[in-house]
Amino acid sequence: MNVSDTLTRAKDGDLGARDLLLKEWLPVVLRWCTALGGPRVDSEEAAHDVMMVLIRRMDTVYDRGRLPAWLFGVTRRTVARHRRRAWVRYWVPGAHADRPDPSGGPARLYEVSETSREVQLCLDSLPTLDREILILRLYEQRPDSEVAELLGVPIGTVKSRLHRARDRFIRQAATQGLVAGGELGS
Amino acid sequence: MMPPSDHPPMEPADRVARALLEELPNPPPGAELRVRHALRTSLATPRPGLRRWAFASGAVLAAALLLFVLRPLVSPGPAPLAQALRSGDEAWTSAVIVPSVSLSFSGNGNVFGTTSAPEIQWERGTVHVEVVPERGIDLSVSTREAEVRVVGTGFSVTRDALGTRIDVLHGKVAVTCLSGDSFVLEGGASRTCLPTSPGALLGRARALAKMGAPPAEVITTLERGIALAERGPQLDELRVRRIEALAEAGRRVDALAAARVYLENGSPLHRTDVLRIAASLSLSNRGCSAALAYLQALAGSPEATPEDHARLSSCSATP
Repeated sequence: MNVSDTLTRAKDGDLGARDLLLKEWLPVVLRWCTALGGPRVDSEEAAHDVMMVLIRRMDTVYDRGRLPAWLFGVTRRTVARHRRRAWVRYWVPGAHADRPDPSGGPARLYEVSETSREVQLCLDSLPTLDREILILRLYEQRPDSEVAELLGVPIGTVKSRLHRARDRFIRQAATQGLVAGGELGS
Repeated sequence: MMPPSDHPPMEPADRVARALLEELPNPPPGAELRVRHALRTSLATPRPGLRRWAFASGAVLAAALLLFVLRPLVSPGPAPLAQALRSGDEAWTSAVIVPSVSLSFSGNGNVFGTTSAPEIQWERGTVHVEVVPERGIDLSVSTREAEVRVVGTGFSVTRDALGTRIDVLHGKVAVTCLSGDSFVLEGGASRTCLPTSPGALLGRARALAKMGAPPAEVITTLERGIALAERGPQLDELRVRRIEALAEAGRRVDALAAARVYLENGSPLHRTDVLRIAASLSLSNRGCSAALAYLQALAGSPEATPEDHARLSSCSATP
């Protein structure tokens, strides 16, 4: 099925086309939610919310080319909402009823090494814009032009923001003992 | 995304940052399956949108009148479910989540879905489920390792370090393990869906060893985890546990070969433990001449014990 047709047919209610969209984008959205959400956010719950918005509001996406940026925008807003909710749960006792532990329980703790946790905490300490640019540009290795489109900023902004974000990330990593002092700077 | 060859050359600082970012955890195994499940449940639950309210308000009076007239003939549609299942340690709790489904459980989980299609997301412990047949109830129980669908039967799902075990008392259940196996279990049958991640497989191996399971089963579990693990502390731990398990199983030649490979790879983690195992195996297999190099390396380690030094002295004195 032609990828442009997929979105059109999904908008028309074609469940097969909708499944194809889910198959293509769910892994990407899950990865974004895991990387951007940090250790206190349930990435599966966040990804579910993002995909529900896609299914229910895909008629507002006017062409296939706009879909990645639109979807990233939904993801960043959804992750922000989940992070706020996690903050409330952390600081306001009894604010929410019992919920599944986003850390995934004992089995998940085995799966995530100490270094992974430390890097996650390091990234989590950075401002949202820094995290987004590091994940899209360095982690997923998207070109500057694609990152600019996803974030809705000029290419020059991507480059300057990346340098600042990268340096902050490495400095924070050094304070956590993740990198040696000699690795700071270019 | 651009293929690696199309990327501009990375600055050194970019390489450092990227190396760190590569340590970020991936989404847990089975995440896509669980999200798809949750999406199916959410889409099956009617949700009034803003525009629908505008139309609905005009039709409410007519609908109310119609319902009043047809009340004896109309049955309510499925209602959404959201309920936590929590029991104290070692305690068993009973619950009826919908009239035709009764549970008794010791552990933690949650109930979602609808009254006609309840979905139990089970986290740990055992849940026993009884579903009255022929009531149109489509129930599923999912864990990180398995999904069990049933229409009218009695079964238990237990999730612990060993994986997810399904025991069917009566009726039939369809099970899909995340590892890819699918099967139908009938009354009296049991199967276990194994963990699918390196960390969980390490947990399973530890639990098996603690239970006194045959060493071969422990080794198989560890090798499955090794095949899945990426370079890093987790892979090192799996390999070291495998060396220990091989030695305990009496497979000394294999254990020594694996220890040699581990030491040659240069990982600093558990190095002293592996040197100790290699020294012991070499001593028992071929005596001091084979063990001397390991004993010397061990004696030079900051974690060497007086016993390690004593064995080196003893071997060094041996002609």
